[in-house]
Amino acid sequence: MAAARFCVIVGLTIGSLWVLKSGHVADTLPVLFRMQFNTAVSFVLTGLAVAALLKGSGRIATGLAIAVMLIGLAFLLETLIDAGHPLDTLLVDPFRQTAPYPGHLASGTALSFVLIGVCILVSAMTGRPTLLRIVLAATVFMAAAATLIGYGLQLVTESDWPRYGHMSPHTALCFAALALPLIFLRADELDYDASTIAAMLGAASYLLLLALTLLDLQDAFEGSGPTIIIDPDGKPVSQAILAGLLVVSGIVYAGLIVYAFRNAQRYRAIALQLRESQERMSAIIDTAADGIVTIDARGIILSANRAMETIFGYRSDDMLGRDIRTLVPDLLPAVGNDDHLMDIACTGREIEGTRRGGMRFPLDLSVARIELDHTVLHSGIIRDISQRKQHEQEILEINAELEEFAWRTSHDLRAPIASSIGLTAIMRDMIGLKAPATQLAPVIARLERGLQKLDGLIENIIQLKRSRLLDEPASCMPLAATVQETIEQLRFIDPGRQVSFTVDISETLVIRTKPARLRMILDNLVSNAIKYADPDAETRRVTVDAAIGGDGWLELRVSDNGLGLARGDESGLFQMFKRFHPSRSDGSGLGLYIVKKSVEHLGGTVAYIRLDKGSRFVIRLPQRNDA
Amino acid sequence: MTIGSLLIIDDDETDLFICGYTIQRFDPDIKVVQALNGREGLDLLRRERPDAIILDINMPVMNGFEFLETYARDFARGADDPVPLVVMLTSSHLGADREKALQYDFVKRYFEKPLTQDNLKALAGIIDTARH
Repeated sequence: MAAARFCVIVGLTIGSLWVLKSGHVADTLPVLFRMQFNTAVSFVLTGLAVAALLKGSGRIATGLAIAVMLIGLAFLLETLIDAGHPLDTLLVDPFRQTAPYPGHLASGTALSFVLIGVCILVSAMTGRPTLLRIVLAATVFMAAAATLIGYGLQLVTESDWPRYGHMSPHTALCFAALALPLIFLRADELDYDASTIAAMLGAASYLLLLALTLLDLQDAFEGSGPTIIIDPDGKPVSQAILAGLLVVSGIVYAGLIVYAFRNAQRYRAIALQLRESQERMSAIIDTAADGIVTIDARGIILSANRAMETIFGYRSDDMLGRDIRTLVPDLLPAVGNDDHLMDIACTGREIEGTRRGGMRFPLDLSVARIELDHTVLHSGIIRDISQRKQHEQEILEINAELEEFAWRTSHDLRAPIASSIGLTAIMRDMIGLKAPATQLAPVIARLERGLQKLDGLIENIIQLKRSRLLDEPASCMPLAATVQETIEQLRFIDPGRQVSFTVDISETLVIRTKPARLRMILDNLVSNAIKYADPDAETRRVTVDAAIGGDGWLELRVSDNGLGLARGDESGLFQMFKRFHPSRSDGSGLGLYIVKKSVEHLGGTVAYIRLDKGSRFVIRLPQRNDA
Repeated sequence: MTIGSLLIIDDDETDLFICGYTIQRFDPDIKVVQALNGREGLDLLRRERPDAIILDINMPVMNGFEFLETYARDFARGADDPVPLVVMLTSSHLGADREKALQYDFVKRYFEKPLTQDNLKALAGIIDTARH
C-alpha cells in the first residue's frame, strides 16, 4: 500500500510540475523532468490500480490496469512502426527541451508499464497469486533495480546508458516499488519462500546489470555503439562501469565469504543444540509411562514410544506404518470413509484398544492436532486403564453388595423384633381376656423362636464380617478329621431329622489352607444338608468325599438326597439373603453366600450340581494356599 | 364399614399368626386367606377375589415388589374393573421401599409391622371409600 501511495504521489508531483511548466524547477533539477508527463500519468493510474487490488476491488484494478497497458502498448507500437511522435504532445506541451521527446515514453518504460498492467490484470482476474504475476513483476523489478544500481554507481548521467531504455532514477524507483508488492503479495501461498525470491531477485538484477555492461562493452570495442563517450580522462565509459562492477563484486564477494563463515558457525551451534534438544525430547518420550504416538491424516502411525510397546505388545518398528485402527479401532471412521479429515482432537476420552493377540482393553486417550506447513498430524497420549477399570468394577460390585446387605439387614433385623412386639401385644390381649395358659404357651414359643432366629442372623452377620476381615495364617489340616469334627458338632442340631453321614476322604489327605475359613465352609454346607434333608425320604443321606485332582487342586463334594433346588433358582443360589425353603427352616439366607465368599478368599471356586434327588456342592481349592 | 375378606401374603408364619389374631379380634366375620409368597398369592387371586390384599415385601420365591409388578400387568385393567386394593405390611423402614410401593395406584397404604387394630380401621375406611 505504501508503494502504491508512493507511486501516486511521485506521479502527481511530476505530472503537476509538467502542467505548471515550472521553469525554475526545470533549471535547478533537470533530472526531475526526465520522467515524462505520460509516465507520471501512468504511475498515478498504476498506483491507484495496485491500491484497488490491495483493497480487494478487482474491477477498478482491472480497468486501471487495462488503461496503463494501452498507454504502454501505444508507445511501444509507436516506436515499432516508426510513426513519429504524435502521442508525445497529446496531453502537454513540452516547454523545455530536457529530453529528446518530452512527452514520450521510452520503450523500456512502456514495456514495464505493459508488464505491470498484465500483472495487476492477472491478479485481479484470478484473485490469487500466480507464477506469471511473480515472473513478470520480477522482470520489471530487475530492470528497475539494474537501472538503480547503475545510477548508484554514478555511471549513468546524461548518457543514454543503458541504451535499452530511458529511465530516470525516480521512474526506476517507482517501478521497483510497484513490482515489490506484486512479487511478494501472498507468494507464500504458492509455497515460495520470500527470502529465496529476494535473493534470486538480487542475483538476477546483478547479473542483468553485468550482462548489460558486457554488451555495452562489446559494442564499445566494436566501435558501433552510440555509448562511447570519452570522458575527460579519455577512457571509454564502459571501462569505468567495468571497474565499478569489479569493486562492487569484490565487496559483495568478501561480504558473502564472511556471511557464509558466520552462517556455518551458527549452523554448527544450532545443529548441536537441536541434537541435544532432540535427545532430551526422545528421552522424555521414551521414558514416559504413557504411550505416545503420532499419526498422519490417514491414521498411519509415524512414531510410537516404548510405553506403546508395553501397552499394545508390538515392537515399535512393527507399529510404524500401520494403521492406528489396528490398535485403537474406533479412533477414526472405518477404512474407505477417511477422505474427509475428521477432527479427532480430544482431551481424556475413554476408548477401547486392541492388544497384539486381539485382546481388547480400555484406555484413556487424549489427542492433540498438530498443524504443520504442509500437513496435519495428530499426537495421542494413551494410558492403559484396564487395571483401574477392574478396580472400579470391583468397588462398584462391593458397594452394590453392601447396599443390598444394608437393605436386607434392615428388613431381617427388624422383622423378628416387629413380630415380637406384635406377639407381646397379643399376649397382653390374651391375658386381658383371661385366656388359659394352654393358649398362651404357643405364643410364647413363637416369641422364643423369633428371638432365636434373630440371634442366628446376628451370628451369621458376625461370621460374614469375619469371613471378610479375618486375617489368619495358613496351616496344614488333615481334611478327613476336620470333616468328621464338623459332622459331630452338627449331627444333633435337629433331633427330628436323623441323617446318615458317609465320609470318603483318605486319612492321609492334608491340605494347607486357612482353618477357620475352611471350617466355616464345611459348617454351612453340612448344616444346610441337614436342614434341607427331605422329611419324607426313607433314609436321609449326606456324603462328603474329597480327593486331589490331576491338576493338583482339592475337589471336595458334599452331596445329599434332600429337597434340592427348584429349576430356575440356581442363579440366586449364592446371593445373600436368598432362601429357597422358608417353610423348612429359619435360615438367614446368608449361609451359601458365606461359603462362596470364603471359597473365593481361599482362591477356589464353588459350584452347585443338581442331582436326580438332592444337591451336590463342589468346592475346588488349591492344595496349598499360602496367601 | 365392613371388610368381607382379606388376602395376606407373608412368608413368616409368626406374622401370619399375628395378622390372623389381630383381624379376628377386629372382626371375627372377616374371611382371611393366606399365601406364603407372591406366586402363591397370584395363584389364589385367580380363584378368589378378596376386598384387599395385605402384602409383605421381603419374601422368598416372589417378593412383594415382583408381586406388584405382575399384579399390575396381569390383573389391574383400569377404572371400570377395579381390582382388590393393596396395602403393604412390612418391617422395612426405608423410604425408598415406601415410594416404590406407593407408585402403583392400587397400593393405598404402607403399614409397618406388626399389624394393629388402627391399621385395620384405616383399611376398612379405604375399602369403604373404594366401594362408593
